[in-house]
Amino acid sequence: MRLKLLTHAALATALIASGCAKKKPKEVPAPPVATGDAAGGSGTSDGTSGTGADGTVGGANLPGSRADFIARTGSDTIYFNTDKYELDDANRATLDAQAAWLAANAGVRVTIEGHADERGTREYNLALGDRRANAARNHLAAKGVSADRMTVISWGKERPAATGSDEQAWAQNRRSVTVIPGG
Amino acid sequence: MKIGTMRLGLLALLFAIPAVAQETAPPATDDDAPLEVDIVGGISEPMPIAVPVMPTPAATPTAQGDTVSLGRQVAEIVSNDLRSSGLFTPVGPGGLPAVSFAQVTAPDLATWRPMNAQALVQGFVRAEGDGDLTIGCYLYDVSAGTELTRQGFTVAPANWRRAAHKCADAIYARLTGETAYFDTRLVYVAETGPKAKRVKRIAVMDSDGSNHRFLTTGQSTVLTPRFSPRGGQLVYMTYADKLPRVYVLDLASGRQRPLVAAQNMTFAARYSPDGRNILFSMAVAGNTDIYRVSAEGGQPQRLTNAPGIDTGGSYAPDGTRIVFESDRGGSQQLYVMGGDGANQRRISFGGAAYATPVWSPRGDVIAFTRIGGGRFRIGTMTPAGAGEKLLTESWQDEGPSWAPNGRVIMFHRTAQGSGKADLWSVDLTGVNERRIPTPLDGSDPSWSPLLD
Amino acid sequence: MDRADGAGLGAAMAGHVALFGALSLGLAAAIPPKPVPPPSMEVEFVEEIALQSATAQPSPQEQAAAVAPEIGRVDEAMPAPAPLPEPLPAPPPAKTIMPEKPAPAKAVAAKVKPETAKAKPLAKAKTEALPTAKSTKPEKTAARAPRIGKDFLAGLSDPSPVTADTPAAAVMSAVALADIQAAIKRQIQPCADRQVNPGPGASRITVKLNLRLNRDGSLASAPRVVSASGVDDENSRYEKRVADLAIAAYKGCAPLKGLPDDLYRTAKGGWSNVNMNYKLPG
Repeated sequence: MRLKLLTHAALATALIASGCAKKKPKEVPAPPVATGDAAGGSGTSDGTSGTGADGTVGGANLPGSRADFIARTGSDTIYFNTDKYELDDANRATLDAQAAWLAANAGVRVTIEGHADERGTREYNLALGDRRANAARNHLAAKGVSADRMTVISWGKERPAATGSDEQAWAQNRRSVTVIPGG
Repeated sequence: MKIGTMRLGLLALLFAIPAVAQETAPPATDDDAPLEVDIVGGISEPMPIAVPVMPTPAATPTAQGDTVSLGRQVAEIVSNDLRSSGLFTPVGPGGLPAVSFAQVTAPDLATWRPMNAQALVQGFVRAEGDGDLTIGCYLYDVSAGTELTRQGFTVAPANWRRAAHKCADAIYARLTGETAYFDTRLVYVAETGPKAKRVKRIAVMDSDGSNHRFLTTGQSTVLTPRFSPRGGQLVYMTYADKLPRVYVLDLASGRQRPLVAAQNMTFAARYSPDGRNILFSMAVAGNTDIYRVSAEGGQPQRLTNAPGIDTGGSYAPDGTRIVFESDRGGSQQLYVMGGDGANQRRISFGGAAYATPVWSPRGDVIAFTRIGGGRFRIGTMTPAGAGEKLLTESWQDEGPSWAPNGRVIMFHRTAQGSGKADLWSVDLTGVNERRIPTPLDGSDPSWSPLLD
Repeated sequence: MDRADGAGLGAAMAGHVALFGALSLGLAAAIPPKPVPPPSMEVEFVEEIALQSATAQPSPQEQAAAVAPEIGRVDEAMPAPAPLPEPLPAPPPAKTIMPEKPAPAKAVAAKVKPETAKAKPLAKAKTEALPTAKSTKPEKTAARAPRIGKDFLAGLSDPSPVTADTPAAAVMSAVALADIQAAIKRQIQPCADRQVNPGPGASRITVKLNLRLNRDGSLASAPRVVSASGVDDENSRYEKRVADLAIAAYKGCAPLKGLPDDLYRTAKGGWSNVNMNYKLPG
């Protein structure tokens, strides 16, 4: 009986303790899909590392920041099939969300980066990355994003997100990333 | 009866002679009809050739070392160049008998015959009064006992290696029938760093790896550098402005300018053989086509206008045609068009995808990267698209570049997984596949023309 | 053993015998009959390089004596001091001399010769005028029937009296021609085999090299390239090199040895003037 009382007490204490809000501001965890991507993408597009500049303040994402963008749109990256640059439904849904965010955050300019996997020759992949980035850009434009807010850059196969030489890695590298400037 | 037969025989003889004569070349006299003897023989193996140390008439110190030591080094360069071609098995200079200065022009062939060498290189190094160096080079056929060629080069001491390469070139050309290629430079992209964020720098070096020099800092990604036909400029693509585009760099002055003023991505630039134009690819509104612009700068002229990706243009040596790659038909294939873009027609029908075409300086074949079966392989085909021959077999060999004699192809090989890239070369016949040592990793090699 | 046992035993034995018989027959059918060896072909080993006398003529008059084979040895080419990828061994001296039929034993050589003679009427037509220079080779002539006597070889017609009377110029028969060609080729082959192919398409080039030789086998003048065939756009850069290789092939194995003096210069040509047609294999 004594044991039972102690157990109840311990349980109650644990429950109360866990229910308390943490005092320390919590960092928004970076979305798993965009970790290497964002680092590589933002690192190249604006010359600074993006990981420390997610704009969090006090546990909330700063409006107009990259973290906010990703949190609200779900993903800054869309993926493609081998040698292809056509958008599928998932891509369009992601881009629609991006367009909506851009409409809500007027004044934010984006760089759309196109990439290819390593199984293409160097120059062709530059052109393919350009096609992919433009496919995204065109869809965003069709959804009302003004052309002068968007810059397109192709990285060909020079900036893989995943470094393996297998189907899984290649699938992650055939992508277009909509990059919000860090900060 | 016998006499009658004899007369008949003699008459027959008279008629027979002309008939016999028709079988061979008409003889000068009846007694001189040549006897035809058919001989078929030979091997397709490297030729053994002796390259002893080159003596000097007078040991003289120079800024590059004394002439005795230079004589050995020149012989080593000649020996290494010949070996690198895959067509020779050089013997020496180490381990060979010493050659006196007098013997250079009067070799004692009896010494060399037992050594299995079919040819013998002799030479000398002499310091001139004004500080220049003269390097003389003689080639002998050991079994025929004849001198095949001789060449001399007088150079400033700093260029002594070039004289050695020119000596090797003279020997190579005389013994193979090919034109020279050792006295050349290579430009390529030196790579280092993790696969997701490679640091890339433009670098140049002699064809044997000497005199290596970086031209960019690595701060910006650089790709596909290529020499101008006279070797004084480079075109290359860089992300320096966060706008990937082609620049023209003057090697002597170090000055550079964007190839064209347009703010679009430009890439895949290559000079015309006469140096007057530069082909390049430009991406406009998501479509990549091939353009041409004067090497002096100015307005580009569009050559292709198809919905597919058109890139990788390369001129034929006479400048009248261009080969390029296009996926307008659904996959990357090779196409040929006139120098002004007319008559674009597909030439590759080998059941795979084909890319990065480069026309041989000899004009006889086009080298390419064949994409199929999960591999990239280097190959050649005729400009009509026939006679496809694959020269390498590895996971990823791409981006061929021709030596100026159209006999050797350089490319880069990427390892699966690590993505580590190295420079390799291969003979036109598919033999002698060898790695080109570089201080770091390397990709996108391009061969200079023969230096004048 | 009772009846049932006996019947069973009998049936079993019968069955065994039948099975054995069937298997044997099956085996017999399966084993192929021993093949008949091909009929053997007789080959005459002839090393003679000699003048051909009057054998082949259209006239019924016969030869025979001409058959007197004197073995003239042709020395093997001096091998290169340190041969590189194994030079072809010199082919053994054996060879058939009859283009159309295997040469049978010497005894019937005489008979066969006229037939081949018919096949090469041009060559034969003149062997009427005959052989002789035998005078310089006493041992050869000693074996010749004519010297011994007309009736020595019964059944064979008299050799033409011209043999003894006429010190006519030597002539080259097809046999001797083939022999000389083979001898020269045999001596040069090891050196030809060492020549290095310069590049793609060079094998299509044939170079005709004219060699003027002295009686001792040495060169009377420098080898001269008469012509080159098979040259096209792809391989023209190798033309000079193939000519070099032809010259080197000759010079490497020169001077030629053991060629018969009597065939140095004949009305039908001789080895004083040789066109060497050289090409690379492949």
